[in-house]
Amino acid sequence: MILMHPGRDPVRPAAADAGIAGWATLMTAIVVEQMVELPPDASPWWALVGAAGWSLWAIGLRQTVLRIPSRWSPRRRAAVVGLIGAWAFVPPVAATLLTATLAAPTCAGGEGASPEGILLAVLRGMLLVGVVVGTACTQTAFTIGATVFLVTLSTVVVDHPAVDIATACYALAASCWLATRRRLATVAPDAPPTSVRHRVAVRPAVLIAPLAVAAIVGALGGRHDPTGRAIAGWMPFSGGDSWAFPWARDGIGDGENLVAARETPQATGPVDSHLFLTSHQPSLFDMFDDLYGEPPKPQADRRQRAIALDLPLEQRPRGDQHFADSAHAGRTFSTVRRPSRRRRPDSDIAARAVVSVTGPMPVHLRLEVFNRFDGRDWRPAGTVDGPSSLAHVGGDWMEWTGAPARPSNVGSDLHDVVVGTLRTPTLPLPTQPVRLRIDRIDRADFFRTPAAEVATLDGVDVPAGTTVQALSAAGGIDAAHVPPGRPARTTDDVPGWVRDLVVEWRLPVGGDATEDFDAASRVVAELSRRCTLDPDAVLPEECPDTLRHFLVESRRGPAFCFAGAATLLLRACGYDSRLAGGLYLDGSRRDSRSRRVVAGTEDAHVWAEVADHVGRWIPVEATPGFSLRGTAIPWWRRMQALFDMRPVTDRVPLFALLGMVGLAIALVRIWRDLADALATLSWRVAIGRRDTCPLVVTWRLVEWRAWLAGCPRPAHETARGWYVKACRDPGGSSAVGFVSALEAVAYGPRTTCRDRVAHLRIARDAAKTLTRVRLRAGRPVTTPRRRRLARQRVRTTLLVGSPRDARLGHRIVGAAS
Amino acid sequence: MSITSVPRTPGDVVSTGVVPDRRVTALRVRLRESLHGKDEACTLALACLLARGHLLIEDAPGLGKTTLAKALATLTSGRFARIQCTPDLLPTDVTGFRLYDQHARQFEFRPGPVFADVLLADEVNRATPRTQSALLEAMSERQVTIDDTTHRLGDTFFVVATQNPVEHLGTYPLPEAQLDRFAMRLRIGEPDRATEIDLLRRARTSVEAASSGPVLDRAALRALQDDVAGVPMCDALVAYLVDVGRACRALHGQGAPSPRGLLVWQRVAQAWALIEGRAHVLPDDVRRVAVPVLGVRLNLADEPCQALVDEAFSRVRVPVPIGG
Repeated sequence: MILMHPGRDPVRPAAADAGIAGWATLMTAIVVEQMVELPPDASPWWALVGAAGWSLWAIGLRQTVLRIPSRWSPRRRAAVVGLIGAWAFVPPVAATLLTATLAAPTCAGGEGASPEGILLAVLRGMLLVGVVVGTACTQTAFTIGATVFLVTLSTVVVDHPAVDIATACYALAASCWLATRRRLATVAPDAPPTSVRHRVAVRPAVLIAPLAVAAIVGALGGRHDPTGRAIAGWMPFSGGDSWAFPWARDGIGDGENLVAARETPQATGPVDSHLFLTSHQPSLFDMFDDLYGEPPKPQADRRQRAIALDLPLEQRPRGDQHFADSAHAGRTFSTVRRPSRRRRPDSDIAARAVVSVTGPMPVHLRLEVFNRFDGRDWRPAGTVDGPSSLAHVGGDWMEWTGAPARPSNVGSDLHDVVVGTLRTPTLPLPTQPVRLRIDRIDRADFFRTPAAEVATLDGVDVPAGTTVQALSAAGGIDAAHVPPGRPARTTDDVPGWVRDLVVEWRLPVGGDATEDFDAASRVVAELSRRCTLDPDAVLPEECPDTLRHFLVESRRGPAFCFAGAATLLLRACGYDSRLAGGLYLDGSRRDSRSRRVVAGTEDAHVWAEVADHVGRWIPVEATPGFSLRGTAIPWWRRMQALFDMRPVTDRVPLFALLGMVGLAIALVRIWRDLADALATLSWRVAIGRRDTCPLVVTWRLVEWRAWLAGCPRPAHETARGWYVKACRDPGGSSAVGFVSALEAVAYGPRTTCRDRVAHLRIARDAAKTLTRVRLRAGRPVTTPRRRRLARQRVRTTLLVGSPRDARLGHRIVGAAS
Repeated sequence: MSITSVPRTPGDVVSTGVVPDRRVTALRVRLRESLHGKDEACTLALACLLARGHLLIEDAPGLGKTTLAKALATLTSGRFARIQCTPDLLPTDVTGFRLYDQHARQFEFRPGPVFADVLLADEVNRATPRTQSALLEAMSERQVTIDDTTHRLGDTFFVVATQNPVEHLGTYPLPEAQLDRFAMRLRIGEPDRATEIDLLRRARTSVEAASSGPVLDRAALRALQDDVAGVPMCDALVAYLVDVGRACRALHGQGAPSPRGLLVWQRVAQAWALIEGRAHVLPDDVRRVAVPVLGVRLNLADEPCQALVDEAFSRVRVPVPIGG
């Protein structure tokens, strides 16, 4: 908190408005802040455009405030100023939140605004309010304080050279502004008095210090230095505070070497090291086991018997064939699983990321597809380990043969997928892929396509660190959106109870129903309406048909139940559908260092897909709370998702943010009372000391209270003159006696300070009398317009005199303004 | 509420241990009675007298300039003399001259009105510069030199000069060097309606005559003037006065006020503190007497002078030793 000097003159006309340097400070700070809101692939110039827009907005509102007629009543003026202040706050904040919430899904960041984004938007709004409606004194203190925090947090969040440049510009502008204001306030053009010129500039020095630090940290790339990390640790940033976010990258107490994982003797942890990245490589089925629980293992004797008999797969006893606790478990997805012990996410999300992605969010990364369902397990359609259906189309790009022609890449989304700890030969590609590219691999026989739109490397796992670029189409089917096109029909047989259920739910079946995807959308809607997502629900192990149990009896289950049910229902309706497994990234977890969205093992997901008449597989997201890229989601659902979609542990930062906002509001309301109480307590302690003059201590208390009351004693005003004139004698005769006694102590001979008993009595009476409330009641009402009129009066007075007086008047007014 | 009218409280007594001198109080009261309704002008004139300065009253005729000068002379048991300055007034008419006595066959010194205790130089700007400069030595050096003979004036010699601010035709404006000899410049101003009614009533009932008579003798006046010089003024306050004076000098741009002006300012502030009954000088005392003292040196009209002094004060931090 930046405190103003008690002696500061609030009506001093020297620095009534910000000036060019002040507005430049504001604008550069907003430029830095706007960098946070930009999508990763957007040009930094858009931040400049946005900052210019909000700065012009603030300038316009400020001019409106200055032009409020002085003839209006104070109540009316206050109401209008408050309204203008609301205009300075609400539109910028609302624009940011709505942009983040309602933006097209192609905008990186996914649903909703991040906590840092909300905090920065609110802070920027408060900054604009302070600039628009603040007085000369509050403008400086609040603007500097707020912009320093704004710039520092933004610098921590965004790692971009443009931010460094903008931060340096901010530091330069702010320093110039402070220096200019200091010069205007104290140094007159005509040889100022010595006592003024050599006054110690404490506050500017205190203010400029963080600016210098911000400049050093930001502009010189010091954010990775110990100083930068120390500052970042104090910022409420999800990447810098593990108390705020469980998946924070830089955990408190880890130490800089642990986080940086430098190859130095001091390094104590291998967080970012290659060794750590390759030490744990889960497969997709391991992730399923972690997320949904492991399938029940067969009893040892039955298992041994099954192996000994070497029966064909279909003839083995049900439930004994597969147990997916490792990559060797096969490619079967069991719907019968034991309750999972959900682990708390590690704090180092970047290090344990299975993949990291840049590109439009959310995105479904498909890794496996399943076609056959036997009542308990989903199995692949078969080993289609044939040659690749990919063809080289120029550069390093590979395209699926037979894919519908597209006019170049228009309408496609580009994703960069970097494989981390995931061990799989399958390339993690978004749904509806069009092209893929791996650097310097331009031969089709390097790839295999075991299923439609699924590509694998030929015989090897994808090495960690491999970057796969993919162009894919957005869109899909959910409860509210239906893509254009015609679906492919299927004749696959489905259990009878599924057909009965389709009839019961009055879903269209066959014929015209499969002319478009409306029926598929209705399937999703009915599932969402009738069933509830319960990640911890477990289907009974003895149940012969788990999905029937889910759809008919329990109607509660995890995501794979929704996906499997949707697949069966779609088949019953006549669509050619399949189950897909992979990763789902909503963009909420972003590594600040690489600016990439990272996925952990908890991001495994299962969804349905339906084929269209040209052979493309369109994702069908039937699980509530999951969305598809390219489908607009109603804003209320996005806002609701901010609060309800994530588990309670993930909502902690939001609650903490709300708590901080509430605490800030409360502090704004009571901080004066709090400061007054602390000052009074300090006075009580100091007045009892023998080596202090009680009158002096009490005068310090009175001046502090006057500053809190909004009527500080101007530096050029004497104690008596300020008290009698400005405060209108709120304390009565005892206060006057206090001032007189104080003057005697301050200016009289030393002998006048000896009567300590009497001084104690006077001081205590004054401390009781001169309360903040009384001082506030007696403060004069000053406005910028009144100060301007006062300057005009001086000018007019001087100009009516002789020509010499007129010249003198110009000099006086010039010096004053 | 003016600063001077702040009521006395026990805090004053406790803190200072000093109450206003009875003689000063009596002098102040009688002076107010003489010039009814002009308390501030009377107090400033008294401060000027106690500071051993000279007073320049710039106002229209008939507002009580002569009355004020006569009252000061009467109340302090001093001899009063008046010079009506005209262009044909000679220096010897002011200082005196040597006359040859044919019977004694020697020159005999005939002292001029300058040898009075209180000299009223009415419309001083109508006298020629030669005559004005004759008055200069008397005011600054308190002595008159005639034919190589120096004649000392009284210790309590006090000049009250007047000039009409409206009529400038046929006048000789006082130069800055001579203005600097005055301690302060006053404007008495027109009384308000109630004061004028009361003034006429008093004249009809001869109340004024009853209040005439000295309050203190010349020795007591000298003692009071010595007391003024002994009123303590802390170093911070002296620096404050100098800073304000330098700020005025920077704003004025012509070197005023001079160091002699600052000395006079300090002495007048001490006198004001004594009149107010304090044993020490406050920043308010410095500020209170600033415009009368600086006005005569800056040679500006009242309002520009007030604006300049206010601006100068606004540039200097008050030396409150705590808080700010």
